[in-house]
Order: sequence, then C-alpha cells, then structure tokens
Amino acid sequence: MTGGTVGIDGNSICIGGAGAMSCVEWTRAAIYLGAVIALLALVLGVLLWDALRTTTPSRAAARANRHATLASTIGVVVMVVLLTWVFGGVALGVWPRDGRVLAVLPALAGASLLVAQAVGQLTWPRPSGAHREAELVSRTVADVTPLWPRRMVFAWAGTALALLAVFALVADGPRSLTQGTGRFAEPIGPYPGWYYGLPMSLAIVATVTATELVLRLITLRPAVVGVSVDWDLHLRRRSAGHVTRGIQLVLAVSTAGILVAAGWVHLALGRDAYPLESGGYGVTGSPAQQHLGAGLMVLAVGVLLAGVVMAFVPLRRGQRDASAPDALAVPS
Amino acid sequence: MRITVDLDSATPQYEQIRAQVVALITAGALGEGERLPTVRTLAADLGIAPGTVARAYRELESAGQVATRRRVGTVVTAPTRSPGRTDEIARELVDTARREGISGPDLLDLVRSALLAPPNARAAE
Repeated sequence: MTGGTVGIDGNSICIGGAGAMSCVEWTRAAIYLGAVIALLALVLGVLLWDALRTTTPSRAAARANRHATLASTIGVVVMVVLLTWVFGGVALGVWPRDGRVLAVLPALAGASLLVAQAVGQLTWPRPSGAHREAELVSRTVADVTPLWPRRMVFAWAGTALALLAVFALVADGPRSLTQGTGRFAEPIGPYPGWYYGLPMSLAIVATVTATELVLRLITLRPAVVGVSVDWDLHLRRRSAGHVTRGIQLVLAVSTAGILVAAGWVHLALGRDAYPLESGGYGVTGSPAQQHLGAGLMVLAVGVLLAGVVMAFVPLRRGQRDASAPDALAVPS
Repeated sequence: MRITVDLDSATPQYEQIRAQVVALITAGALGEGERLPTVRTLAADLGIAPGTVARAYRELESAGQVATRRRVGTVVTAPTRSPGRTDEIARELVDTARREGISGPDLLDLVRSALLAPPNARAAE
C-alpha cells in the first residue's frame, strides 16, 4: 500500500496508487463504512459488557480485568476491520490485486487477534514484593479453554484443509477448472487449486499452532494476587474464550471462502453460453455441475452462519464453569 | 491450599516450598494421587525462577513425597498419615505457643532443640 492515495472523483471515492486506482460510489462506500462501524460498535459493546459484569474484589483484580479487556479489544477490533475488508472488498470490488493475499486475509485477521492476546499475556503484571503467594492448584490448557469453541477451531481447520486437498486434486490447473474440450477449452477460475491452497493451508496450520501457543500463554500467566482461584480462572477462561471464538470465526470465514470460490466455478461450468442461429445466446451445461455449485454455495452460507453463531452466542452455564464468580477476595 | 515464599528470608526459596508441601501432605490437605501445579505454573504465580521450583520438586521426589509422571505431571505419592496422638499434641503445642506469644520460628527452634535431646533424657523429665 506504499504510495497509496485517496481521491474524490465526482460521485466516487478512489483509492490506490499510480496505475491501480479503484473507485467506489459514495453511497456504497458510506454503506460499507456504516456497516463496519455498526459491527465494531456491536463487538466492542459485547466485550465491554463482558468486562463490566465481572466483579472485581480488589484493585489488583480491577487492573487485571482492564489489562485482559484491553488485549481482547485491540485484537478483536483489528480482526473485525480485516474481516470486513474481506467482505467489503468483494462487495465493493476493492481487494488486493493478488488473490492469494485475499485468500490469507482471514488468517491475517486471526493473527492480529493472537498477537494482541500474546502481548497482553506477556506483559501481564508480575508478582512483586518480598512476600509471594500462590495456590497449589494445577491448571492445564483444557482447564482454561471453553470446550466447544476450541473444538470448532480444529473442526474448521480440518474441514478447510480437507476441502483444499480435494479441490487441488479436482482442479485442471493451478487455479482453474476447464470448460469445454479441444480448441473450445476455456479455463474458469479462480478455483481453489494448489495456487491458493498452498498459502491457505500454511496459513491455517500456522493459525491453529499459534492459537495453541497463545492458550498456553494464558494458562501460564501469573495468577492475579488477592482473588480466589475461581475468579482468576474466570478471567483466563474469558481471554481464552475471546481467542477461540475469534479464531474459529476466522477459520469459518476461510472455509466459507473456499466453498464460495469452488461453488462459483462449478456454477459457471453448469451454465455454458453458446450463440444461437437466430441471434443472441442460449444456455446449456451440466445440471450436475449446477447442483454441485449451488450445494457448495449453500454450504458456505451454513458454515459462515455457524461460525458467527459460535462467535457470539454465549455458552450455557454448565459449559463454562466458573463463569463470572462472586467477588471472592482472598486475604493475603 | 496456598503457599507463601518470603524472598527476604534466610531460608532458601526452594526449601520454603518443599517444607510447605511436606506440611500439607502431613496434614492431609494434599492426598495421595493429587496433582501439583507444573514447575512453570508455580514459578509464574510466585514470580520466581522455574529452577527454584524444580529444585523443590526434585527434593520432594527424592524424599518419596511426590513423583513426576509423563503426561500426568507431579503427583503426591506419600500416603496421608492417619492422625494419631502426636498430631493432637502438636496442635496443642501450637495453641500453647500462641497463647504464650512464641513466634513460629521460635517454636520450631524449641522443637528442634527437643529433638536434639537424647530420648532417655526426655523420658527422665
């Protein structure tokens, strides 16, 4: 984006550098920006509500609550901005020129969340003073991580990798399927072959690995002084929940993107236009390809909805033990 | 179960940890098979070097109080002793010392001096 400029041209706003200017109508740009701001307001509202309902029994607890909230807020805001760029770019036609960058953009959004959380955990206030205390209680990553969001991280990652492998095998070229035969053969893309599949697979594996490392950091960070074990565990579970919910959403978006790209190409394969003798064009093609394409599109919408639901819908109380415990101050 | 470490104490930090874990096992607060936090977890919570906690765990392991198992971590292996007459007298001793204003370290010095005395001398008293 070096040397990029923003200009106004009549009813449009133009973004880009020399030779690569993308222009969007004011009204569409305003709708997009409004949607981004509304989404950010919703996400920030949920995060702040989650932070405010946590009772803080001491100044150290209040400071820890603020620290955890700040890390989550910065990470989630950057993640949402990058994710909305994926959707906004597609809707407005303003996207990175290299399709591989667009393909790994959801993973970059996830990386921003993970980096913010990692910095938050690494800068967690250390115990101070000559008199130190600790609960003699073991805790593991499984203890601090909500079960279902973590499962969904692995489920979406596994699904995305399997889909990329299948589509890479099915593809006729690095990033296309071929329509017609002989001299009428025409490549149709972008199809999620190995050209997109390789960087996406690496990004997905890196995202899952980094997620596990960040969850380990959350588990190992020093306990908050002067609060009960349950309160400290609640704060850890909240941070781990933000990480796993955000990352599963990012991976769901990646999975949905793979399905949309493949579905679009299969739909195109099922609708082959040919010139009519009477003039104009007729449409022919394979109904099977059309059904496959439509099925993949429907599946993509389902995956996206499931990811959004898992990101926002609170878990039942039984599934998140130690949630919002009473303010139990432990005398030191 | 809370353990404390005094960084200004003359007693080494690993010894403070070891002694408190032994006391918790002896008192029955830590039962056989119970898991201790990992070295890194306890070190992070106490804000001390992981090597210090590791040394305390090694000392406990060599005394047969705990065992480190792959995948499970460090678990208590010493069986909880059933409380007897000595436990009762120990509690009475602590209560008496508190009433007389004797501090914890001074009481421990008294017990150590009593342990140094020959058994027959104590019996003669």
